[in-house]
Amino acid sequence: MKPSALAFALALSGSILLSACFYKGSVGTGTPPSSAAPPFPWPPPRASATSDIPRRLLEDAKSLGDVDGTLLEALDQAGYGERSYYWIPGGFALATRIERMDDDGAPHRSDRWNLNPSLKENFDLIVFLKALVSAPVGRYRVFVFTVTSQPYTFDSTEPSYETAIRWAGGGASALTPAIAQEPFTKEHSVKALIYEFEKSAGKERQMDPSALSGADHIARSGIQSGLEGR
Amino acid sequence: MRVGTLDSRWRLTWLWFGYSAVFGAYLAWDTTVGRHASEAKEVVAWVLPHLSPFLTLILSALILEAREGAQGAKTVDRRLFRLTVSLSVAYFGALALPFLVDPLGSDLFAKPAIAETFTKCELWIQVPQTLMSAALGVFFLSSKKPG
Repeated sequence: MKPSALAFALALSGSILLSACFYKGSVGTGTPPSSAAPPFPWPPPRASATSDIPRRLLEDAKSLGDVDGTLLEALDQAGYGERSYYWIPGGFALATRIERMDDDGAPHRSDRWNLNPSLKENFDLIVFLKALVSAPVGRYRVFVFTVTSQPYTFDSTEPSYETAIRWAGGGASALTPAIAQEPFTKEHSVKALIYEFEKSAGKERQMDPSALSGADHIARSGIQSGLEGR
Repeated sequence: MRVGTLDSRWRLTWLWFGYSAVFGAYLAWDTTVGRHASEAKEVVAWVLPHLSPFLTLILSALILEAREGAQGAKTVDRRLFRLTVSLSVAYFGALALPFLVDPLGSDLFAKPAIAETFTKCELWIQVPQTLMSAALGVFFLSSKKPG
């Protein structure tokens, strides 16, 4: 072998080794690393409403793990105890359990987590009288928080009610250390995607768009006060 | 104690037609834009046979009595009249019951299953219906001229 060819081979293998040392997993690329949380449908399905979480509420966050901690604290305060993590290009997504809400966006007082409420078990005269003349309508929603450095558009497909129910339990239980250690940069944005569903007479449909703004959903669910009250 | 037959039949007619008007208005709303809009056929097919024969009977008896009224005032036992009214009211309640229990199903947002409720109600509605029919029959046949 000629010395020049040997030098080239050495340089090539050296650069490969060097690049491997700086490899930080697949954050920011199009495919999830094998150890990461399951991928969230990407681009995300069309949401009923969206809301940007202001950076001022995340000013202390240095890493994606810090952002996760802030979100978890706010979600805990608002009563969202069940969550699931998903991998998305450039970061992670956090989905909450589907909940029943009132027309004004506040969580339903008595049947918040009940997908099949019955008047027999929880009698309400006003609801009963309304149900005599019309089919009652139940409103449900799922929050999906995306934390990513990549801008994205929405897919035109609407997620089914059953799919949204499974989001809360279909992901990882915690953020993987590799993603948690990623720095939270100016390129990152934190957005809440709200998937709202209307259930009536045995049929479910996604509200597109929601009657409420994304900011209203965040405020009336109690998440806003959880983020601000830290 | 006895009451005038024509007067009591008028009252019974008002009671039955009054209830039918209110119940009919509710059903018209319910089966067009209301809870059972998708089950209009089943609702009408169940309610009509449970109401219309009695309305026809009561109206016919009233007309017959009104025609005979000029020939001499008949009377009927007041207790029998009250019993007929009470059993009629109970029957009205039984007719409304499937609609009242329908929202109390296992899922408030599920498809209404009034047809199934009708099938279940058919098992026991015969009891108030038979009692009310018997009372109506005795009431119509027991009128007599005073003295």
